[in-house]
Amino acid sequence: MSITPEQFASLDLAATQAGLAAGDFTSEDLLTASLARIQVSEPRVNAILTRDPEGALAVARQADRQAKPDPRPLAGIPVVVKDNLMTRGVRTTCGSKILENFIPPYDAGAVEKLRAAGAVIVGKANMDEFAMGSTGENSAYGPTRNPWNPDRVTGGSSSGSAAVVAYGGVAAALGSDTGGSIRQPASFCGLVGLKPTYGRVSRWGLGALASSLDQIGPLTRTVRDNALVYDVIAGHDPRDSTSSPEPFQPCLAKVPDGVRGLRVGFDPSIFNRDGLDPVTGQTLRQALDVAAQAGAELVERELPLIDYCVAAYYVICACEASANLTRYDGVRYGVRAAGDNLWDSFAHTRGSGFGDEVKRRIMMGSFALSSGYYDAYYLKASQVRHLLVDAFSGLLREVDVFLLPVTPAPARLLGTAATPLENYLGDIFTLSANLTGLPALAFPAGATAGLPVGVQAMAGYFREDLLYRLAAVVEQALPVTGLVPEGCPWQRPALEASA
Amino acid sequence: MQIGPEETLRLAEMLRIRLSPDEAERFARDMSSVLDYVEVLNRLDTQGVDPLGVGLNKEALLREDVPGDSLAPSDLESLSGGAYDPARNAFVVQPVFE
Repeated sequence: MSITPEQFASLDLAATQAGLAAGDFTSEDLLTASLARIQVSEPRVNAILTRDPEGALAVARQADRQAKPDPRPLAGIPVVVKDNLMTRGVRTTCGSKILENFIPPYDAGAVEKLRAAGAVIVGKANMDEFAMGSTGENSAYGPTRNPWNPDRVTGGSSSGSAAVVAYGGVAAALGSDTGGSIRQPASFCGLVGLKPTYGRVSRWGLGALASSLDQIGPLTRTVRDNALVYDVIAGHDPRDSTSSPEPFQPCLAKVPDGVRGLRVGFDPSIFNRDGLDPVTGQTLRQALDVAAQAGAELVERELPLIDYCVAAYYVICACEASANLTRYDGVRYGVRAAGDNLWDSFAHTRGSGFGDEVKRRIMMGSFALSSGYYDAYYLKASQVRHLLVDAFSGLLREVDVFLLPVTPAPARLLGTAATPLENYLGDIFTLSANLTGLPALAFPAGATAGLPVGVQAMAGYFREDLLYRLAAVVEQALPVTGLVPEGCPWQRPALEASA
Repeated sequence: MQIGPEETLRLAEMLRIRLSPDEAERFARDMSSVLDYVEVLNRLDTQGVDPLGVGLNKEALLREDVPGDSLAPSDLESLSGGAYDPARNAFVVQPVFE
């Protein structure tokens, strides 16, 4: 092979494209390196649920037969997708036992776009079951371990998508974000992770958790790579009735445009908030300083209704999940458990096929939607959601981008599970973007005790370009690599030095 | 708002999820604590506020209903753990009525 797994792990997408065009290596070489990297890392990390070496090899060889340079942006480049994105002929479990044997007969819209761009899909990433979780520990196939420190969680629910990019198995992966599920693992693993504007990326073929909150987005090690993949997967899809017909403006070319003159908002009370890890606060301050030095105007504004997001979110998410997950009955797809009669078979299938968090949310949601409680829970939460949308519309008239933490603290130790409610409270900073539909980007800006720490930027609808411009400025000033370094995979001297 | 194990079991039965008594006990506790927390929403006055539903599009986007290819029987075979019967090209379940 003309590229080693270690060399491959450190390549960004631009360097990969250039190397392919120059003939330094072939797409088949890249695939071999990617699979070797995955092979070595997986026993410790558990990021990948299904590998597809044969399918990937066929695509890689096809890319190698194309004339060079190949104009397709991801031609011959290995990627991974989260296991709730349908992949034709490749098992798709949604992290659940109930879909242990499910092989979809079609590709999700976002997967179609990846394939059309020439991407080589090497495997499917581990995840919290049906994307319900913020640690990666709720997978029916075991937790993913954080490549920076295997005693720590990766964050979730796109746990495997984050881990495989961090350990250099691929340069880009797709995740899905319903309440922070791309941004939070990106932050815990030192990556860039985008939750696009609601409706910007087709949800067709995404195993639904909460249809009004779910969005698909990329996780990468660099800002530029993130914009490149986002440009590939964004766009209208008539098969998703919530897909936006708003014309799409590609972001990649705007990444280096800087932040001079941009109004960057932040809430000074965040720094004194109970439960906020001091390093998380320092990291946010550091990113704000960088933005100011680069010519942005810092504007103090209150982060609206932050103390109501968790409650509104968990009501709405559970209600939608309870409806979406009724389809898993063991008849049309997935695992089927025997029973004395049809109802008994349903109950046994769902009782043994779903994990605890899934059962809990289905029951919570159905309870909140039931007659007598609907007004008090679902209606109330949907009204609060409207207040939140109005508040953010006002805020984003006064600032172009708003900076805030991704999570109150860095990745916690595996197996130190709190109560479900305590886990939910850890999502406090990421939920606003899902409830409002606004785009949000997590990107690395610091570190503590060998763990990366990210910050989060939000902008107006369809202004992902502003998020990338700010993140690129921070990336340049505070280079925190997303790649776990060679030689000492569980130690972080380089990162400590940059903190 | 407190939910007891009995109510949880009844809820699970309606949702076709078999629970053990131990699970019912645990889920009742978890759900009660979340429902207590959710009370925080009542601090906000939402009188006269319209609920916000799905999507940012002002109106539902409709499209022409164009007939397309159906899944081939060979596609269906990959779908199910056993309910699909290729010989009959049907999903076969136990009788609903005896």
